[in-house]
Amino acid sequence: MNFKSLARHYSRFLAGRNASKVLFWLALAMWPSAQFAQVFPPEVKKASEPFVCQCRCNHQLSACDMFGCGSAIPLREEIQGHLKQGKTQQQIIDAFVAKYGQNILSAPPKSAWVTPFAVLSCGLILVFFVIKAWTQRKPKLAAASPAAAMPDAYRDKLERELKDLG
Amino acid sequence: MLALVSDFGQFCLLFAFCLSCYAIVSSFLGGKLGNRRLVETAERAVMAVCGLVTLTVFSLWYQLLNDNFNLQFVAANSNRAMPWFYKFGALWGGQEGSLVFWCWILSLFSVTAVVLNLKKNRNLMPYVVGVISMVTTFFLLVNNFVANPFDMIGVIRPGNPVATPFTPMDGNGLSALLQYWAMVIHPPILYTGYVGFTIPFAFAVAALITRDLDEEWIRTTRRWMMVPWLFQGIGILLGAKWAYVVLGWGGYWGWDPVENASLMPWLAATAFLHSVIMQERKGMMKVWNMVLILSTFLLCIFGTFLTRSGIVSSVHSFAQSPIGPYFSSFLFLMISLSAYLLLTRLDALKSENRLDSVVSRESSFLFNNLILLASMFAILWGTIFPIITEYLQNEKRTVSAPFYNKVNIPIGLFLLFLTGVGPLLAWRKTSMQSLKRNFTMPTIAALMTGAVFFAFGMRHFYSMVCLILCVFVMATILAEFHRGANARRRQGESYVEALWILTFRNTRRYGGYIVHIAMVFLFVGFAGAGFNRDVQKEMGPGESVEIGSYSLTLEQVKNKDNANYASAVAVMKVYQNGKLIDTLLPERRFYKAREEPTTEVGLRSSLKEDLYVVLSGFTPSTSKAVMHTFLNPLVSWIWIGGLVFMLGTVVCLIPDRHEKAIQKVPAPAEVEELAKA
Repeated sequence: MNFKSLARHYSRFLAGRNASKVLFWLALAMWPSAQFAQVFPPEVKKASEPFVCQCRCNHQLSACDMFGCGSAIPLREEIQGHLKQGKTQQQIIDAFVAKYGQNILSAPPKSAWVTPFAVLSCGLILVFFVIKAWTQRKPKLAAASPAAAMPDAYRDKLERELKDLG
Repeated sequence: MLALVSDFGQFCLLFAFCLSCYAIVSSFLGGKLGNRRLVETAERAVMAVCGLVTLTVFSLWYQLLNDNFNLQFVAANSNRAMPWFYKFGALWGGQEGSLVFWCWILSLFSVTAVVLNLKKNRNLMPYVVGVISMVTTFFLLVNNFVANPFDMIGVIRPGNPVATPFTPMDGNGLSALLQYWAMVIHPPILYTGYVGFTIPFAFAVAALITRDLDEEWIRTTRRWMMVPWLFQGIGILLGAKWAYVVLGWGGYWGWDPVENASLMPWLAATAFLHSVIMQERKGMMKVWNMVLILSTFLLCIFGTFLTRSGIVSSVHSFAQSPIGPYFSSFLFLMISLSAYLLLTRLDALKSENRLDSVVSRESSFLFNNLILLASMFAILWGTIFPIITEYLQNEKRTVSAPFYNKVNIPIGLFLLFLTGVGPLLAWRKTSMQSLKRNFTMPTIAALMTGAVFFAFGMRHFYSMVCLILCVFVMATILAEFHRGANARRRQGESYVEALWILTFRNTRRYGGYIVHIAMVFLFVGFAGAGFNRDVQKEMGPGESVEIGSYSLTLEQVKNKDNANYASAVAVMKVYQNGKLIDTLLPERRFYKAREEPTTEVGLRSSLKEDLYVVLSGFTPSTSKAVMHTFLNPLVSWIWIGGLVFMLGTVVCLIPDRHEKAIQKVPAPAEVEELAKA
């Protein structure tokens, strides 16, 4: 094989898919070996939703996509193991809580859920009373207000004209 | 030279602290004694502090850009291989520098407040200067004695693990997550928001101290509130963009405690910007407005305490140190001061007016405030719940996205509904005719949209309700613009000209509508999250993955290497209907100094959807690349919403001819007096 044919052969090799394969393996070889990822089936992703990743990312276990996450990958593997044993979602939750404590759960207990809505309800009641108190304030004087005494039709016309003025 | 500049910076920082202490004493004393000259010296001291902190910042930049690794701060947050703009940004990448930077922005705000009020609000200014100086002094105290950026390696301080002096050959480098363009501008913008809320707080405290609670101070405060509100909003959105592009989990908002900490004061400020209209127009909600101004600032300090104390786990843990007790003490002091002043001035904050009807603009403001505060409380509750459970039950509980989403989505949708309804309700009382005229067409448009979505198979409840409400709100706002422009066209103006003049003659009203349009865009973006899809696949060269109408083929993985990081880049060809439309280059970087990996996502963005590709890593068993591909609909609308939000707020800030003419709606008692006259 002379130099010309060698060059032709080499350039054909580079142009083909072999080249990209070589580059791919080269890239892998040069990459730090700890940076591994793993693909889990969708049912593992679904089953990891009730848990939170422990890598301080605050994401659900199903969402943590940190490179080579030291928490997400083993936990997902554990869930995969539970699923292979035919455990239900609740059984996996119980097993995780027993092993890692309540902190593994992504959702807080019921008391946490109730509080914001309780505060909102109290706020609504407060607003109701405030509106009631403000509408009842000094009713006699209010009657003297020309705006309050204005019939709806006139008020409507006034509003429209004021708006039209921009 | 480096040591000289470093010593000079240290001196400036210490001198600034002394002058700031002087400003507190002289301003309060001058205000109390009515001594104008003493107050003037305090104002000059504030300007001098600004100059000194500016010099401190520049000397610190000089250390960073010249790799002075004798300084702990520089060694911990920079390295030789970093590009200059990241060295520049390293100032706010670590605890000490970011506190100096905070102080600098505060001093710039202080000088602006002093200069703009040389001839007005003179009765308030001694106390405004005093309060601002108190905050500045606190930060300077922390910077001088707890978290000093000029500390040499080997100086023993709380949290300083190294006690032996030495000069490292190279620094640790900036956190890899922060080496992204948005992080060069996101912290300064967000800090400007956080810090800016000090000025309205100072005006509020000054008004309470002097009992000078007339309309002038609230008008001044509204403007001062709007500027940081704008910056905080942009900062939050830039942070979301950073999370979207750098964290590589496919989302833009993770309800991280630090994200929450920035959102809470913004929500409180939003409530204030609405309810202040009630005070300006009707002299009502004075106590409430005061509470909102004070809370906004206190939430900023609380947020900073959360960010820096490390009491909650967060992706922002790069800026933690033992300064928590100092911040909690300062927070306690400020809460006590605010509560005392507020409770002893309640008599001066009585409402001047009454409510005529439940169906009125006034009521809508009350509901708007309630909803905004409920949302803020839910976020606050979720953020501090782990701390509370740990304290009370000795067991840490986690609160993450499911809680925040479930609580805030219905609240947010109700808020969106009010965004459409509130502005169209009349002051005092809204007639039935007015309700029909304003809401018939938007309601029909919204319902028709819902029917179309349903017919096309959309079944995600919250997303569908959100999009229907978006159409409703948009229709009400556009109808307002149209009505106004049509009225002006009768004077011979063209439609576009009429819209322009309309907007700039009443900037507060129409700027506000533009901000509401921005909110609609943001909610359109949020609604898209209901339809997110993703697929994760191991891929070798030539293998493909399908998602939506796209087919992605991994062509090759290339290596890149420079002094700062090594990276693997996946070359992904994107096909649609068999046609090559794009090449995406998702990347995994490995920063050498800190030995930290980061993600650079491959992103193809359109108004309809984002194709978002992450190189998750490599499988150990098959040695294939793991590609995580997301299809996120409508995300671009969030960033568009951010731009429109900026535009709307800037329009609001432009003084209009109506502003001075805003007349308070007379109280009934005043009407009676007028009638008698």
